[in-house]
Amino acid sequence: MKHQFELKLILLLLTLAWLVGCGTQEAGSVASQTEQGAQAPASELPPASEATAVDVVAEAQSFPVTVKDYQGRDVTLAKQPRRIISLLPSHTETLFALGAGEQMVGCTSLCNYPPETEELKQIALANPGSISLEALVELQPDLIVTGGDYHRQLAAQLETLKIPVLALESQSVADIEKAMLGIGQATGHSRQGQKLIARLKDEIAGVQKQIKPFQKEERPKVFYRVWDQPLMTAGPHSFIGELITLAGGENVFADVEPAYPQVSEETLILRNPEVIVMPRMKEGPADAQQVLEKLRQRPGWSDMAAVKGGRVYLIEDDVISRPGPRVVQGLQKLAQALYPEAFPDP
Amino acid sequence: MRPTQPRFAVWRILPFLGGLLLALLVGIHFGAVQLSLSEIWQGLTGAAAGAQIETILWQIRLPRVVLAACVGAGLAIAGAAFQGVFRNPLADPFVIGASSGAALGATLALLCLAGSVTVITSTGQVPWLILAAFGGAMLIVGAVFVIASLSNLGRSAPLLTLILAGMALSSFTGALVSLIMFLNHEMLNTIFNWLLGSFSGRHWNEIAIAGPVILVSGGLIWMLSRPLDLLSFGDETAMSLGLPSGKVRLLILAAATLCTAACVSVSGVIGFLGLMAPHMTRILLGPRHGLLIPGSALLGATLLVIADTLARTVIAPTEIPVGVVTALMGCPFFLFLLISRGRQSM
Repeated sequence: MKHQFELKLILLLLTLAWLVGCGTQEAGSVASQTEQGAQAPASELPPASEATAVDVVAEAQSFPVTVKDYQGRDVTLAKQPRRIISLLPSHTETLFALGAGEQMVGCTSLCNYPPETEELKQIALANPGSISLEALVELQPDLIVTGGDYHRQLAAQLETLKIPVLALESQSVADIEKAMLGIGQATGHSRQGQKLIARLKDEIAGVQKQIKPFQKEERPKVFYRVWDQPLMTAGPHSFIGELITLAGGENVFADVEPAYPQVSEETLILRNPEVIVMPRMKEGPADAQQVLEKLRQRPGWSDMAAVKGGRVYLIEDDVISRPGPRVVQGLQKLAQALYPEAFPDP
Repeated sequence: MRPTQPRFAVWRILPFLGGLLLALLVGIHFGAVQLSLSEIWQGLTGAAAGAQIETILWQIRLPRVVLAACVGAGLAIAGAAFQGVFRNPLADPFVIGASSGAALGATLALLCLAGSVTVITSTGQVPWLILAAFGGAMLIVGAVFVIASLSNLGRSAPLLTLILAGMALSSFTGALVSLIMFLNHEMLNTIFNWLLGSFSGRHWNEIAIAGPVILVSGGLIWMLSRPLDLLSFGDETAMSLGLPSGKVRLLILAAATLCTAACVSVSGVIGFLGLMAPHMTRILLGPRHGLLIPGSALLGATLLVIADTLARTVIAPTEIPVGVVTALMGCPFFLFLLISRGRQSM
């Protein structure tokens, strides 16, 4: 622990030294850019379709902007960011959905959607501690979009380096909307942000309308299996738990506190879920039938209503567990698993 | 040390047996799902107590309780043997690298099996995880022995070399496991769970694999309790009494390692127990191995059954790793015994 801290300190000092080295030069160029920006904003525009170009021009003039981050703190951006790095796959998707993809220079190695992310510089990411500050600084970002508490330490380091950070949580549908709003404002796409939020609300309402005629008093009991050993599920306070409720299901572990707790097999068997949903990992079995066969062999599971009825579903990992603009796809798949009769053509 | 009359000594172990039976009953009684005593009786005798109750009792609760007892006994026996052979009160079943080897094997297996985590240990399937953990333990312990035999440090040093080589290799494999954890963020929970020890999701299958190994190796150690008594006086004494100390010592070490590997491969790394259970028994029953080994086995089994019951129930339906419980509950008890009757301890 102490070593890690020391390592980071050394890293920090080195980066600081480097920054001081090119500080004077940087400051000059920033100043000249700002001047240019005020005089002729159009010259700085990235090559884009007419519609977005107009939008960007219109909103670029509204800079500087002040955006609230997840802690309610103000983040002020003097001008429209042109070199954005996103450190969360869900935020990357939001950036692209807003039309800010062209302003991006980097994302994490886990960001795999949309395909355009391949052209960006990929920051190797295993966990927040493994992000290289040097790799970030090298890209000369003028805005880094991070997750909230997850990147708290990193955000503090970036702040000492005077790199603007916009920290936004991504744990719930409300968070997604806030992220769309905040990122929209910060990148000069507020109008798109608002449109995106309206569309998201519409689509969620659409899914709920579709299942409405088939909903009964008793909602289908769902077990969402996050992991097998240890047996882990998604609690009601997690994003997936929220999706289960939105899709008209009842989480069999609605009484747990942590977001992704390890739960007891006994309780699961006693609560007897009617539907089991699991994320489909890229390396994992692609076929729910295969998984069902394995579950049947498992002691105590074969009598479970979901296993007996063959109602075991796999939902692609990326859409179910990534709280971004594609949340509707995950929600739809979940609703389809819970109310197959509401979706006659899968 | 206090001489004990063999005839009366046997009687002194009866409270230990009673304690274990009581612990087993408590372990079967309490759980995430509360079973009444009459329900347990009906379930055990086959009188229908409801299909779900029967499933939970026979397929989930009983195997867990029995496995906890087996592993507790195995770790305690191995601990007593290592302490006797090394003549070191700090020796525990993990001293020569068995636990870190098993953890590495399990981690690698989990990494390779990442996608097919569903049902790693269902009946009729090759228990890759268990085999990998077992293989890892044997590999690292083997390496420790090879290293110790390669170094020529004089006559009385090999024991010390073994411990040092074990510690070095433990640190090394521990670092490898940490690296894998760091680079595979999504597997953090599984590996972490393994490193803290857990009986979550274990069934009769694990007992069928580890039980016989623990029984045979533990039995062998018990049969060698007379030589163990002599060895704990030191090599010179043992040899002057006509004991081929080198061979016997190797045999005991091999049996204790096998026993440890079997335990770790089904439960993960459960610290504290193998170190403390023999000491507690030594305080209560005296240092002679003929009595110490069965006593340790019973006490170890009792403690682990109680620890696992707590792990299952304290914040049910969420579970906590049993290794955490053993350390939290065992340490104060051990210190209490040490203070109250410490002078007889070693």
